[in-house]
Amino acid sequence: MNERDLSRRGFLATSASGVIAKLLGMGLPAFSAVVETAHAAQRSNRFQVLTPAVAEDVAAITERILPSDDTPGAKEAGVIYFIDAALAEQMSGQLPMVQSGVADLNQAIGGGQRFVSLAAEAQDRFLTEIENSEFFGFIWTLTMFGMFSVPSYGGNRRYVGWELLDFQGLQAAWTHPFGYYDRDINAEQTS
Amino acid sequence: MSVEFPQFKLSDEVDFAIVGSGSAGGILAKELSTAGFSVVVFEQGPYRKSYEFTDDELGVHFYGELQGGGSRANGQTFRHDEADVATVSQRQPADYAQTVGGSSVHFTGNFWRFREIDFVERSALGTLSGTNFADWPITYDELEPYYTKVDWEIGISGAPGPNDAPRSKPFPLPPIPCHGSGVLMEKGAKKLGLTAQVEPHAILSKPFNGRQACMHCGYCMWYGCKHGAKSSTLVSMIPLAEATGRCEIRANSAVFRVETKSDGKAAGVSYFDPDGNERMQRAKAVILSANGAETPRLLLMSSSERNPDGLANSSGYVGRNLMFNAHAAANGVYEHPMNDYKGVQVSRIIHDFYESDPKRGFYGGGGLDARSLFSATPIFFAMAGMPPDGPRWGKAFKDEMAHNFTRQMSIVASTTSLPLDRNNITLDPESKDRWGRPALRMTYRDHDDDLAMAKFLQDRAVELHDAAGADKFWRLPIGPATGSAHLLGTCRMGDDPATSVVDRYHRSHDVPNLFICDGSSFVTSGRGQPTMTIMALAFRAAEHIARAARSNEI
Repeated sequence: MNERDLSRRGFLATSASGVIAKLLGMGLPAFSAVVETAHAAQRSNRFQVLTPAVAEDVAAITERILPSDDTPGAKEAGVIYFIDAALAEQMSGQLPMVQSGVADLNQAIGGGQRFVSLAAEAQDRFLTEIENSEFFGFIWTLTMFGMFSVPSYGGNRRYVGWELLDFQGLQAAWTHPFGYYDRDINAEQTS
Repeated sequence: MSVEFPQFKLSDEVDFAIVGSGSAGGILAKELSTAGFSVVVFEQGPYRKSYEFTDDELGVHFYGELQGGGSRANGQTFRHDEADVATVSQRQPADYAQTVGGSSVHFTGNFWRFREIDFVERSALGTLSGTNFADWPITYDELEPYYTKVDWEIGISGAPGPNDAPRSKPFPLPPIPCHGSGVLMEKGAKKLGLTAQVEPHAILSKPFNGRQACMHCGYCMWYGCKHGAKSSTLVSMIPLAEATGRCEIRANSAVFRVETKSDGKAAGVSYFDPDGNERMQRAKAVILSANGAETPRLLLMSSSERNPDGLANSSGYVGRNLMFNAHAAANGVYEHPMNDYKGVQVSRIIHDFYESDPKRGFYGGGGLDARSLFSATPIFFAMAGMPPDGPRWGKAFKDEMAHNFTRQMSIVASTTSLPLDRNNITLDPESKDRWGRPALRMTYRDHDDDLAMAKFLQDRAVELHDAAGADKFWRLPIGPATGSAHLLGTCRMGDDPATSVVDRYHRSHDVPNLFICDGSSFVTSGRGQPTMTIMALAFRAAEHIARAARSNEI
């Protein structure tokens, strides 16, 4: 995402937020597709509850859970923005656990270093050590939610999570054949 | 935007107060209002219309949008054994919808009739010690006309299978198109000498009764159908009830008590209105169709000096004999994309193991179906659909998800559950729901035979994946269930008031103007997919209740 995108999103956030909030408040889902992108953008340019430092470390964890390579990962999906929004709303009770989880992780790393500053291999070593912890399990769950939920929650930006799976979940209607194996079977059945 | 409909005054004594607007309540409302009676239907959830349903997986599946906000809001508790303290779990044990149309809105639409044997299995097999295994007071033949009524009034798509019970009329609509998962199951079945048959659906394959056909969007299981193609009572029955001008759907209204008069008869229901105020609606008769968990809970909440153990509970059977249908599954990944996220969950089933077989060494029967299950939606897939032996994070995990999602399917087993005293619904002594009512407490541990049957069918599921040529397949762990969407048996019907709660016409043995009709009426569990039988019972009950009301016998 470049500077121009960001400023355009900032503009949308300030000019449209009142209208969006009103539409969503009215519970009119027909509008939700239209406002989805803008709504996500509204949330994107600053964190609601995470400090920049904690957000960096949590984002770095999500980017090892779903790394970016020739296909998109947690970074491209903006998973950290989903997490921040979830911790501000539905999962606000878990915020202290996330904060202390990050603090514990950085303490284990030691030497005044933070998780985000480590090389990928070192990051994976530390994550392997905590992969059975409640903290890691929670961040893992939020990473899946943020990668694959509809973008209005702040993640799955431009549907990169769905693209990764070749899930075309926005198309509300299909005709058969749906895939490779049902190419022939329905011709006689539904005629 | 709710519909304009007549609003009865609290001071009016309406003919019927129906608690619950779901599979049974919606049908009873339509049948009784079109028969000329005044009806108020109480629904604790909101009145959503089809266009308000979304594909928001996180909101619907994980945040409990259609379930009144899920676990935290409803406070339901669960324990396996009576000696344990029941606790609130993340996923609520009684998995039902709070919305007009009830769980017929969010169910998958799999739609099996029972067979003759399901009603007389106790006579055929004998007693099973330690259980409340019993015959139904009615037979398949008595219910068949109402199964057919469901087919033609609700809108059912399908084709008959080789061992189905006889039907008096054909399916009104042809089958939903077969998916890759159905094709592969059929391939495996042929190799193993089994018979894959068409899955019947409460989903329209063609336009019917002014409703449009399925668009194969894939959001069936747990979702409301935004096309109105799923044959919920919301789209099939309730509009007809409202069109009479005699039926009011009172949404966002949570009933907390069935009130009784000094003669012991029901006087009406007390409920919290949308603003949280206590109100009471008078009625000549009360019908409970709140589902197999909520109906017994409401009767237990309606205890009084006269009925210290709950209303209609002289037998002590209110809340007892809770049955789920046990489940097992095996997942398989195949070479090519089948894209099973498109369209309905299930297109082929195998009913070759429907009947109990003494050679297996345990009681039970069931069905197998091929379905998308985890690969219908991406979050559920990521959370629970991946193989147990693979990495849980990192590049290899991501790549495997990306490869499997469109290539994966499940074969799911649904089985019998035995009726047991130990499995029940009671009121939690501590937990409350968001209205402050005592929360529903569920106690449940599957009978060993139920789990043995699930394991038996899982073995067949694994063989089917192998025979169908899966690249990789694996079992999901089988263990005692911690909840279900099938909530059955808790106010069973029967001729003997000592061992049942309602008679064969769904009238309370204790309270003559109280009727109970929903999954709680079941005597045995069937083999899965109970909604068809709930709906058939409702059509049948409505006929008898209307007749009794007309001849002043209520």
